Amino acid sequence: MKQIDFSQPRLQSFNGIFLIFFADLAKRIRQNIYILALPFLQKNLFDDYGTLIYLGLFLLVLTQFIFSYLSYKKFRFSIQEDAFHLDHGVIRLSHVEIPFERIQNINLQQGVFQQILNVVGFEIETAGEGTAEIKIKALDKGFATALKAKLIEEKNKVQTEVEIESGPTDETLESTPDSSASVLFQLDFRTLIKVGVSSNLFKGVGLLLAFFAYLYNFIMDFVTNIYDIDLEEDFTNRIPETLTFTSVLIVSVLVIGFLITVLTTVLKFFKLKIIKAQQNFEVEYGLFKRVNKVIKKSKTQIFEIRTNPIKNLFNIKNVFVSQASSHQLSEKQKIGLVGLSKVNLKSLFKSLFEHEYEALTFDVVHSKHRLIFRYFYKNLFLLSGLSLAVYFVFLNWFSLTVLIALSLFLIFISYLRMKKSSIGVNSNFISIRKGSIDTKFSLIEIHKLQSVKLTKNIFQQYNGHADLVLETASGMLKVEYLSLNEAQELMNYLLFKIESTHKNWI
Amino acid sequence: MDFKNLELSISDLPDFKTVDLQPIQKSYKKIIWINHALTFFVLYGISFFVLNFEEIPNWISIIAFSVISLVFSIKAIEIEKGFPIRKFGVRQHDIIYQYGFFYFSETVVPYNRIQHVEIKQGPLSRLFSLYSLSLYTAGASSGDLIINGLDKQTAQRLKSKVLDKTTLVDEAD
Repeated sequence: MKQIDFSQPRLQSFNGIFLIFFADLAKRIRQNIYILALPFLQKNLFDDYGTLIYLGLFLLVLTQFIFSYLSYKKFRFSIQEDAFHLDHGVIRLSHVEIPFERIQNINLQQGVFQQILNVVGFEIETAGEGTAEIKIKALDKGFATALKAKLIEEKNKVQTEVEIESGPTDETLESTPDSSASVLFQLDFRTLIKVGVSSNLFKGVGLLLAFFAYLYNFIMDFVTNIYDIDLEEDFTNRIPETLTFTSVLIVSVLVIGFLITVLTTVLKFFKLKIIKAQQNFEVEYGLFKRVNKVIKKSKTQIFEIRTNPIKNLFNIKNVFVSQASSHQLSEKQKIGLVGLSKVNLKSLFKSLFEHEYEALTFDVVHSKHRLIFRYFYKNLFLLSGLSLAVYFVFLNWFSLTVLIALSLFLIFISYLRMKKSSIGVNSNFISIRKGSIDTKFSLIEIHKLQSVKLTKNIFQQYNGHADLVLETASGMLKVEYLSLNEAQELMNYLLFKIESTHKNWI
Repeated sequence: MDFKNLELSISDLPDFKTVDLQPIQKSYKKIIWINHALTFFVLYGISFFVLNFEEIPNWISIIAFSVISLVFSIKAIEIEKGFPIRKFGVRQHDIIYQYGFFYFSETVVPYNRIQHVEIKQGPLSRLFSLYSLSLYTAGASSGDLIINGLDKQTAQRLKSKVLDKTTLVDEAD
């Protein structure tokens, strides 16, 4: 590795100008998308003001480019004695300092544009209250790796000093990337396809429907405006004849939705690789957008195993790991390790928690049957809306059967969700099971809990039930409709365990 | 339910329900009322104002009036019935806060999970010389505990108690 002087304030890679420019431009366009509708409102707009519009657009883009260039010029970072320093901002200048010991993770990633321009994105994550998260859009790959190694090295230095002062803690040293890294798991293409096939196809269907709804509105507006005919009325009148057409449409939406799901899964988790580096894991995945994330053992809060009948058939499991953060983690922020076999899962679990996954036994408490009503109430809005639509618009045998089948299906799903909802405890772990057809099984170490809450709405106060809410540093988990007695016993137990431990949550 | 695999017996554990809970200051109810009265005063004002417009049909204001009144009476029940339940309790290792009539909630935060503590005072609270105590834990703000309507002495006593405990635990580590 070449020696690079990091104390010199530096700019991003030169290609970064274009990246920043395109990213900013895309953002502006997204913010002002409604302007695209203007030409449709006024027919002669382009004839009358064509030159002016193009000139204006050109000026806007030029200003944006100058602004992006300035923000590139003003974005300077360096490593000083104690911290990572960053200056940025065109109009309002700001200076960010991240002390080495606050650095939790360093992620490298490469999106499509970044791949074209041959640069990588560089992210520094910190833990806890601060909002200081640094994103550098474009660095040369070699430089980024060197910077990462340097930061980790500095961090280790600080940590060793602290450890000498205060004696050994259970916090383990972060590894340097070259020492004893071994590939724990590599996802081959066949398993990846299996993961795609066994994913929830409704995600893809949802995407597709959203796209269609958008397209439909757009075309309808357009056609109605231009040709002055009411297409909607025309369409509604022909509904009975187009029943076959509708069924074909539904089937094709499902098929295309399925294909989209498989495709997005394959793109997202392409060549997933888990590398074990001493106590931590590095995870890499993605075809167009190559993501590199670090799972720190001490930062891991929730270990979630997701399965469904098809996954069981293929013998694969998806694991989602939540790391400590200052806000509730969204699904996207969880680190997904998909297509694991049982053996992979066991070795991953063992190295993260130092317990055998197989040996875990839990005292399980189930949610009470009343929970089914809560789930069903939530569907009631949808059902009553549909019933009204059926009654007033397309009342016939077909729509009625569909409606009844849908209600039965929703009741069945509510039943499954109620049946599956449970919490288990043993002397080290909490396990929470949720899901309907699929299963989400979350495992949390008890000492990682932040606070415990018991809530009862007015009905639960009368019929002696309560929801148990567990707060962790990466979001809250809720177990619904436990009997009050059991919920209180669980709460006492968990509190006792948190308060009698000397283990820290991070 | 019986817990077979646990190494300790659940029934021997300290029960958080047995702790003596203390109410917050009575004058805090006035603050809640003033806050809500202001909001509803504005809402009623708007719907009354709308009544004067010829173009807007009267039934809109009437519906608005009744919806606002319904929400207002629910809020009133919540305040009147819920206020006596707002209580906090201190145990050796944790702090408990409970509130809510329609949606009752009991939160327990162990001292060794508290990141930092703040005493705050809003403009309205200054009139009644009341303080609020915020206990922050790691992670999302939903895990934080905020106790409103404390007098200065109690707030400071609680704060020093909590800080004392958190530092004690740190030293023990």
